[in-house]
Amino acid sequence: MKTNPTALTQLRPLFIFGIPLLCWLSLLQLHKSLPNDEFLVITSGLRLISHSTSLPDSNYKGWIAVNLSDDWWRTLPHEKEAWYRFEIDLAVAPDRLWGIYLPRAAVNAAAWLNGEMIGSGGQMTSPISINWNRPLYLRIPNGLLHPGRNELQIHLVSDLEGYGLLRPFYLGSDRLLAPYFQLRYFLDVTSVEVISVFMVTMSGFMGALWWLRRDSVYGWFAFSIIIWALHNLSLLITNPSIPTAIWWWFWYISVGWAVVGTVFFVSRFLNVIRPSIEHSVLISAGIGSLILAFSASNGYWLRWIGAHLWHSLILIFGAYSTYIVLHAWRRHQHDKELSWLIMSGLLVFSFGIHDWLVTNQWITRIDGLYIQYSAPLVLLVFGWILLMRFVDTLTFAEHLNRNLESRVAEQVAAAEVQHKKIRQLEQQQILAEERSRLMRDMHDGIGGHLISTISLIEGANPSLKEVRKALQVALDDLRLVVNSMDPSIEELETAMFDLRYRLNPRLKATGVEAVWQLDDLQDLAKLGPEYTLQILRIVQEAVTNILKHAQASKVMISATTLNSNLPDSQLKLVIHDNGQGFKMPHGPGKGLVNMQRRAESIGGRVEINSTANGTAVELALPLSKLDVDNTETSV
Amino acid sequence: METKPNILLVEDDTATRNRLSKIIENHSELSLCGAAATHADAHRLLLADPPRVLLTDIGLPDGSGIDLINTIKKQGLTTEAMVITVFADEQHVFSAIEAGATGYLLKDSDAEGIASAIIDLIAGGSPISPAIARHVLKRLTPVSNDNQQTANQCGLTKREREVLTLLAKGLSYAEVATGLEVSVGTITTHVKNIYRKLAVRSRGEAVFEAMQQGLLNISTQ
Repeated sequence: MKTNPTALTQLRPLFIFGIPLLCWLSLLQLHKSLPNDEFLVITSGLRLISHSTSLPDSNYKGWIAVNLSDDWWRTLPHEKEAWYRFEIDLAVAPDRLWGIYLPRAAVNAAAWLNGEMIGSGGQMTSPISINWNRPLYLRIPNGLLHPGRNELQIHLVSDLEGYGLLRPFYLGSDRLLAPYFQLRYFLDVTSVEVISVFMVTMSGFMGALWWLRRDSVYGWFAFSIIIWALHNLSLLITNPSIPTAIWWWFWYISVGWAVVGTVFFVSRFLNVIRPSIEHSVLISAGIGSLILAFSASNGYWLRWIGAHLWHSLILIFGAYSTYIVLHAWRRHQHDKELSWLIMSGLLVFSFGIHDWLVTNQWITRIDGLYIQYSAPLVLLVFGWILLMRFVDTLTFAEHLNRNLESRVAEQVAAAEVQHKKIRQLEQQQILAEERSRLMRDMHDGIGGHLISTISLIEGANPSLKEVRKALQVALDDLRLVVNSMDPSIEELETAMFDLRYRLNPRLKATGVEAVWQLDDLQDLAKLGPEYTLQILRIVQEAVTNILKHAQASKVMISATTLNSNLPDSQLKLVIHDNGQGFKMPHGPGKGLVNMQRRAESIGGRVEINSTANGTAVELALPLSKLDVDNTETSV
Repeated sequence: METKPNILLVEDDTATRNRLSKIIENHSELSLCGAAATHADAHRLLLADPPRVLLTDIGLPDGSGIDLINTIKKQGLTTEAMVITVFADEQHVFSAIEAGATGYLLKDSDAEGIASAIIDLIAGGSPISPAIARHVLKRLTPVSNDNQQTANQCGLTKREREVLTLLAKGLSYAEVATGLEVSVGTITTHVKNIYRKLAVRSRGEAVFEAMQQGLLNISTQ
């Protein structure tokens, strides 16, 4: 049951094509049967083969009886010129304007009535006007027709051997007959003009698409229809400015190349490109065009080769295109696009077969050629399909873009969340590090000092003075810890200033002259609080030692930066006194060990040189390894 | 009887209070007029007989030493205020100075240090630590480079900036005086002016802020 709606859907193109096609074909047939009671229908007469340009004598023996239509393809395949004579019996003279309507008088005709020329379809000698696919209409001057027998003579010329054709024609009231001519003219000429303009426009549009997108599908489509439109020119131009032979040659080859273009277009459209076949198509079309060019000087041969070989070749190309489409359709029967393609392909193909049969004289050519009428629907279908593909691509791209946008937005949001998390983690880590640093500092500093103070008190004969000193050391260290956390102390220089302010009175009270050389710290980048604290502790420890043991009168505290801005830059801090020095018989004392440990914890080194003339504590701290913020140097 | 500057001591820790009391009482140039452990007591004593110097801890069980300093300014007393601190860290000391304190005292200073700090304060030479000097330099941006001190009520003069810059490097008054080739007395004068400007400045800011918030109405006359 499911197949039913699908089958209907697939039949839809048939209806959409079929109905307008039927209307068109019935319109084409409409002119055939003009009402007999209103007009005189001329269906038989006499014909004389003559190259005379003036009226031949009616007494010539060459006049033979013919029935219309008289198709030279069959009756006079090698002739280019002939005369017809018709007798028209009238009971009374017409009281109004009459006309002669020649539905088909190929390639051009002129008419005489009762010995007087009444008109022609244009140039009657080479290059003759080409009216091979359009009706002619001649008005009969008032008073020329008279009661009784009238003689109408028609001179028919063709620049191509055997191309002449005279269909039955009509005489009658101009008012009634002219509209039939106009309808026929519309079908033969005006409609083809409209179609051709449409084709040129479409070709331009598709050509632009090809140019902009370099998509050969659009390119071949544009090529096909522009060639087809040029082919149509042969139906529209009556007085070409090029030699007749070339004109006819172009008429033949243009339709062929339009079909070649179609083969290439369809192959690419369905993506079934077979290079060997395409090469064969190109080569055979090229050879065919050349052969036609050589035979163009002889109309008979041009017509013969054109019809039997060239048109057959074209038909094979068309059959191949149709085959590709059908083949594709067999595999993807539900593809609506393909159904449309098949319908339009079959339409062109069947019209092509009709025209092929006509040019090969297997069916009559009195109705003319059909192929030009297949263009509009085909173009609409193909144009629509290509446009839809284009629109689909655009829609898809937009969809992708939207999708991408939303995905980008999602990613950005996710990244933001992630970033926040990372920042939180970082902050937590910083806090944790700061806490553990403080713990370490307390443990290293005040904790140890308080423990040693307790030991001092618990020892034998604790001296209050000693206890006070020990507590002072603990407080001093705690002060350094507090200082190192002070946000206003970001540079080592500032911290050293504070230390100088605090130590100076103490040194002075002990009678030690202090000299501080801190100018080099000006340009030092910020160190972290950890570094600052350890450096301050080392200096404080050294100064405390001097106060305690050295019996010095002078101390110099100097800071130097070496090789600044170089990879091996380092900070050198020297605390040099002129005291008595010391010896280390039992290894370095606790204070010295502490200094060494503190220096190492920040990647530095302490060296102590002690002589009888003084002691120098030297801290060397490589700066390049430090995580210093070099973008903000102190001012 | 010649008048020794009397001092009101406010400190909640008994041991510290006793130690400081003893130091002041034992000093020949100073006299202790009272010692309080709470804000309430201190407030009462302060108003009953305004001392020459108020020596106060900042964190009290029932209030803040800074409130006491504010009271001095509000009542228009001539009492000089000095805060007692353990670390002299910026946050504590500076809020006190902005309230109007003109000096601070480290709790662990020895007896001599404490007495001389008080005497210095009375003489107008409150110590300025590098931290405070830095802060003042930051806060009191110069409005003019004029050397005249009266040119601007709040802005620092060029000389004052020079003094502060050297103090911020941890130099003593003597060292600063040597560096600038002036007497120590001149430096103490500068310092006193700096303190005054700082207090004025902070009060001016307070008034401005109050006006901004609509708390204070100054009618145009």
